[in-house]
Amino acid sequence: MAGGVKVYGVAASPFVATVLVCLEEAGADYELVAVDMAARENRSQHHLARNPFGKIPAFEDGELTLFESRAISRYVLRKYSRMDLLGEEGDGDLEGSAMADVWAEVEAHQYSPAISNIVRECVIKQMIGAGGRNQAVVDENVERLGKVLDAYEQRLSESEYLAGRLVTVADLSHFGFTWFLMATEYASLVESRANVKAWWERLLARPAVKKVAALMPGGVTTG
Amino acid sequence: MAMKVFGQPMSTNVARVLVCLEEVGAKYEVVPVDFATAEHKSPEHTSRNPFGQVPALQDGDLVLFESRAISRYVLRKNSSELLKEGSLADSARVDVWLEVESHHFDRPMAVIIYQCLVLPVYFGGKTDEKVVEENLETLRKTFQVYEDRLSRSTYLAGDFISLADLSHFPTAYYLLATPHAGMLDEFPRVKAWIDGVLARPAVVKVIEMMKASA
Repeated sequence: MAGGVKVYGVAASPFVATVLVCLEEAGADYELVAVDMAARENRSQHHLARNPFGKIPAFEDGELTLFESRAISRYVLRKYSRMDLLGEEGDGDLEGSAMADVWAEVEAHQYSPAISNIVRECVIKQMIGAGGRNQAVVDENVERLGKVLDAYEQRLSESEYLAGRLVTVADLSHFGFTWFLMATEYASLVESRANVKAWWERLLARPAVKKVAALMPGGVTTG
Repeated sequence: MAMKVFGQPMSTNVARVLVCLEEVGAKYEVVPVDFATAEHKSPEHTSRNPFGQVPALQDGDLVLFESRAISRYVLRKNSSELLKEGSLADSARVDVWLEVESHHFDRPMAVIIYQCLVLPVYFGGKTDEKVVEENLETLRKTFQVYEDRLSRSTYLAGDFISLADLSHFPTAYYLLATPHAGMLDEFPRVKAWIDGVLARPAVVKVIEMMKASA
């Protein structure tokens, strides 16, 4: 697959899923190279050479090696000229790209820290045989996520997508963790908020998102 | 018209934005937000930052929040070389190490700063040494990665200084004020890199602002 890019990881990882969604949106030629997490391949020398923190995803485009899903996603969207997905409605749209950056940071600092704890306790730990749920951790993070989603409910009453009129990477980067949440009893966090629910359904309807969802374990489609 | 930054310079997230404004020589005004009177939770402030945090930035009709998003905007607006947007590969490397700063450096550092500097000084509380130790271990692993990285290039994203390097400075400045500054002696390249960043004129200026607002 000369000229194609490589993603190292597994689709079940929400961080890998973000990159895959961006590659699908960009119509890119790519290969997903499996990293055997159960065998701790992510701590092997050859993987650490790509991601020195031993995480997934890692990414290669010829000589260029990248890690951190949000950095990889930005690179993919720039490379394939999907500046619209980075918030630019026209050339050098500073305000649009700034709004996409704002809500991408919100995903990273407000949304994902709370939802990842819920998903780890309720879904991942079982999947990898790492013990039972710590309900106290779940409850604390459900409360945290609820407050974040209240802010989202307000934001999405003002525009269809987080950054504004158009879908951007800020929306797409929510897919992976939310996919897993919707398969738990805490799906109600999304279902009970009309604007958030509608936004989630718009994301799920995207062909690129459907393609990646089909690669992921479990999950439940709404509607 | 001058941009307005809402928040106090002593906040690491506010300082991050201020250094970018200084680097590009932009006109700006700092509007303090008084946490003691819960001004950050007021309707006026939450209309700028719905999560009730600092900083927020106002530039004409545009209102932004999240310091790294604001920083990108300020640098991009002024065509700063600190983002390397002329190069697909270089800008990607800047993005990588800005993510690393955010997730592998800032996260353990925020706990260490809170436990060692904020809790005892502002809340009369007692440092939880176990929590500090856990986060120092995480920080040590991060510094191991940085030490290796800085053996291959002068700065994190390459042989050029970028937002990725500058984004570390407010938190690094506070690390030096904790009892754990000595950890840096284990990582000579990291120490030299931090010293270099802290010596930049824009950084020196913002540090003075941080001290004045403390």
